[in-house]
Amino acid sequence: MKTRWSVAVALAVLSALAAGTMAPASAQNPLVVGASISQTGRLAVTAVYVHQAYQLWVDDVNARGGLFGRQVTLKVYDDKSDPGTGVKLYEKLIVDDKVDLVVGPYSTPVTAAASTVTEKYRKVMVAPMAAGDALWKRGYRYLIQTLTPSSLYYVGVVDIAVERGLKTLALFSEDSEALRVTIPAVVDVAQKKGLTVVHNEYFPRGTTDFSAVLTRIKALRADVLICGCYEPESVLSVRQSKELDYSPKLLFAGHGAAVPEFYKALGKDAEFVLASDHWDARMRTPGNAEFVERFKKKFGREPSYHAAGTYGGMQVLEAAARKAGALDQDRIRQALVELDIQTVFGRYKVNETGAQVGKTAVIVQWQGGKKEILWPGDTATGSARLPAPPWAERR
Amino acid sequence: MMWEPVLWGQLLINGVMLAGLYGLLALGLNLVFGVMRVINFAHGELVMLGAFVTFWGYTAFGLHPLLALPLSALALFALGWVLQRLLLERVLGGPPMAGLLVTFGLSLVVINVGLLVFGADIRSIPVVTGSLPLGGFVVPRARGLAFLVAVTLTGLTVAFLKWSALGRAIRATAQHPEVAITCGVDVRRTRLVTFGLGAALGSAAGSLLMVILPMDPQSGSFLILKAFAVIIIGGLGSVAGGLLGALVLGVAEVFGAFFFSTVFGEVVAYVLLLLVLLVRPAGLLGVAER
Amino acid sequence: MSRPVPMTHGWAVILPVVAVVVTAAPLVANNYVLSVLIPMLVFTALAYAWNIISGYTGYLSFGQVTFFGIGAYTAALLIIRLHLAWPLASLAGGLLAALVAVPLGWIMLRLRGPYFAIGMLGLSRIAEKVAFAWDSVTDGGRGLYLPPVLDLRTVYWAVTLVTALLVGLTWLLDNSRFGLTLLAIREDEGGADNLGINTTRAKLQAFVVSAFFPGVLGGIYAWHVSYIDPVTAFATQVDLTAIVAVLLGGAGTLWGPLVGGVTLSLLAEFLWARFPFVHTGLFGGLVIVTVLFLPKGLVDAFRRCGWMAPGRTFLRRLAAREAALQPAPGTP
Repeated sequence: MKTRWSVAVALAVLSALAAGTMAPASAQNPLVVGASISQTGRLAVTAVYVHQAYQLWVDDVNARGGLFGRQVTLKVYDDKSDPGTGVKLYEKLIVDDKVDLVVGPYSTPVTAAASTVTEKYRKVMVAPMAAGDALWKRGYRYLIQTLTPSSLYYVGVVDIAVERGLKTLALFSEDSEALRVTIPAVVDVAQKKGLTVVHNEYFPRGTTDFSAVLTRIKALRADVLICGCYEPESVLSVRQSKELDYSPKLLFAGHGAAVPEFYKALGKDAEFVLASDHWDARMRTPGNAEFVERFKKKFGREPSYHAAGTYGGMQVLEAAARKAGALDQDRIRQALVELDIQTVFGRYKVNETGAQVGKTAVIVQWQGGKKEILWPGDTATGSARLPAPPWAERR
Repeated sequence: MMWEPVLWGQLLINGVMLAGLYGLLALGLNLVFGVMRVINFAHGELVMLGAFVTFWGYTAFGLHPLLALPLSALALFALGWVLQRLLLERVLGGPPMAGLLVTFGLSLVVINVGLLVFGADIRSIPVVTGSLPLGGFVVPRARGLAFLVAVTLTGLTVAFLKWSALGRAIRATAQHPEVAITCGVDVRRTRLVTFGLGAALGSAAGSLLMVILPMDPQSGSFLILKAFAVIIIGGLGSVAGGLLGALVLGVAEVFGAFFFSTVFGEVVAYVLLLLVLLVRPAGLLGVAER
Repeated sequence: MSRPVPMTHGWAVILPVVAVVVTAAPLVANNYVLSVLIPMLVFTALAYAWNIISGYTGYLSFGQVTFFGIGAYTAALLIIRLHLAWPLASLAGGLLAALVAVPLGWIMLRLRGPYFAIGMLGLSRIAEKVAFAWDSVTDGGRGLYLPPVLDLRTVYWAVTLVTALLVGLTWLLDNSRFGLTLLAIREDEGGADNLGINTTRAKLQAFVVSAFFPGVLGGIYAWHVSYIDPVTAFATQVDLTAIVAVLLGGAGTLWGPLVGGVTLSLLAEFLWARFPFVHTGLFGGLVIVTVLFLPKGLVDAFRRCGWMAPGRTFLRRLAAREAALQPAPGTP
């Protein structure tokens, strides 16, 4: 008999613990925006920027008097860069914490999983950091894209290469969702514009040595090297290119090469490297200069495009909410589909499915420690310094 | 193109360079496993700590990584000693998985601390870049340096184990702890020293890795898997075997990546691992045991 | 130390109550709770499956996630390409995993101790890279998108069923000759061989069972998350979590994996929800504390406190049988 009571007590303790975890937050007056960030896991590098942008937006909107007269607060959890956690996280935000608005995670895979939850509850979700075209081919109605679609990330490089009369192209890229769309798109455009692709391969995440593939590409004497990668591989590809004395006329190190950390890690070796960026601190988009200033003041460093993209996404959400006049999800969705505005990040306009059609990526080049925008022409701040001088000739 | 010997020469060099990296990683791991039969899951994090201490030395004091290396190693030696004393001594003689799980828990703690202190950004030290021309080939400077350090440290460790009193004590503790005690060896202290050394060697690896690769607090967990493959191939517990295993793996990986694809190169490590386990579990230089 | 208390009557009351609670839970719980319970049960079930090859047979595997991933991909592909219903697809995933486990087990089970553990780890790494490389089938790093799950309750009941099956299977092991065989292999394989036990076959059977269930669970998990890619499918974290769960609960006990799995999941969830920036480190600390202070697991601690009856563990029965077989004193 004693044993049965003891078991019952133990079960009660466990249940209390469970209840403590899963008890919904008490009802509050502030307007709560729920989001996830990839605080741990593969995408942790960018998460800090994203989180800081959310915090800055919350400060800014509250300084303006909040939304619908209510102060805005943020509720954030770590999605661990893992789709499975993403599912649980958005269930928690919507069902348990009962947030008023949700915004999306960083990266396409986590957004893919999380959006199945938000779609189910018909909660409109702006996904400021999701680029995968496939996300908007599933027939979902409540997912909104503010970032350039993956397929358009790198295509500008081709124009630059063609303009400089470069002929051969080699690519190696990380095998991940976004790049599996970006790279075929680049290859397609390149071939249509007369470039020859001499090598194209994917490497699994976590590869720490590119010497073999670079040795081959060097032997093939490719004019243009496109590395489809994130920050760690961007740095590594440039470093190993120098080590193997491979000097492509145009070295494009992916979107990972657009962040300040890339230059800090490489120093002068980062010069002449091209990158895909979505935004630049000097772009003359409305409110951009002030945004950069405020970000620097609050966090002690310049924002990256992840920060600007997140902030811009929140601006879009705020504009749509105000246009809808209420927190009704369907009305906000309608407003989001109809809006055509400029944010600090650039132009925002989506089609019926929610996919972004107004925003393009920009191609930049590191010159003198700063990024100059090369493409598209109407936003250019400088011209391409190509062909890049061979490693041996650089000081 | 694939069959040009000139290219093969470069690939061989690349493979040896990669081996330097792997050899460094495996060194501390091998020592700890050889002596205490503990699979130190936190070794990658100790390497990472060494790397970040080195980085801090560079950014705060302008210390060249080679100068920071011994200092960082000293710091990590102390940390390793403390960890062995507080945590690992207590799981000795317990269930086999215990040591592994404790170190797994430890790795999570260290990663979180690293993320909080350093942030998740990648860091690297932009020194010793580029390469030296050698005939028609190029030898990457940073990786070449790592290889030299790997060989030196491996040699020093082998010599230390063979000829110094402490080294003999370590080997005695590894092979027959009971007999060692009767011979007057302070077995407990030996274990503390061994783990400290393992951590120090890991730190040395980290110092060089900070120059070779972009590192972030989570890098350790990726690197550790290849290190395991290396020590199995070379022979568990054999320090010299670690270097040999690193060479085999490095060259195999580079050639595999060249002749097939990069993903194949990544698989090679584990295929070799399995082959060695099945054909000759003791590895290349290990001692066969029951 | 108290005498073993016969619990036969107790279980007749407790078990149906538990069954009702567990089955009815989804009807009152919200989707967030379900999305916590589902992974909890998945890891508990994985812990039970691991316990069979590792806890009972003594072959500590660090790569059962290989079969989890195979099941996940098989099920995902069947759902996407052939529009198969997910329960069938998951079952097919388990079957394929079991099929693959036969040759793999035959090779790997030749290894012992840490060699087997690391060998299995290597196998899981190879499986991950294969998933990357075989992109004509798996779409490589792109991952596979599955149709969204509309009703979490069916998923919940499916994993509950699998977990219950595994608990039952473990109980059967505890009370069968086959279980004794596995224990014999764990304690002294050479001796067991000498006694004429077909250890190779027994080991293989245990290995295949320990592959089948993770395969099924992989399929269910893929369906639950609606997206699968090589890294998620073959994550070493999956193995480690299952192992920690078993150790926390108590290896070699019937209820250990359940107690461990539930406690671990609840604690991890609590940490994740309340401490978004330090939950990883706190969880690591938890693992350390558990291993240091509860080396035999929670079930053992409960027993020592009298919260649970000393179980009819294997060795007890073994000892009891031994005692029954001894010739009476004085007989030649």
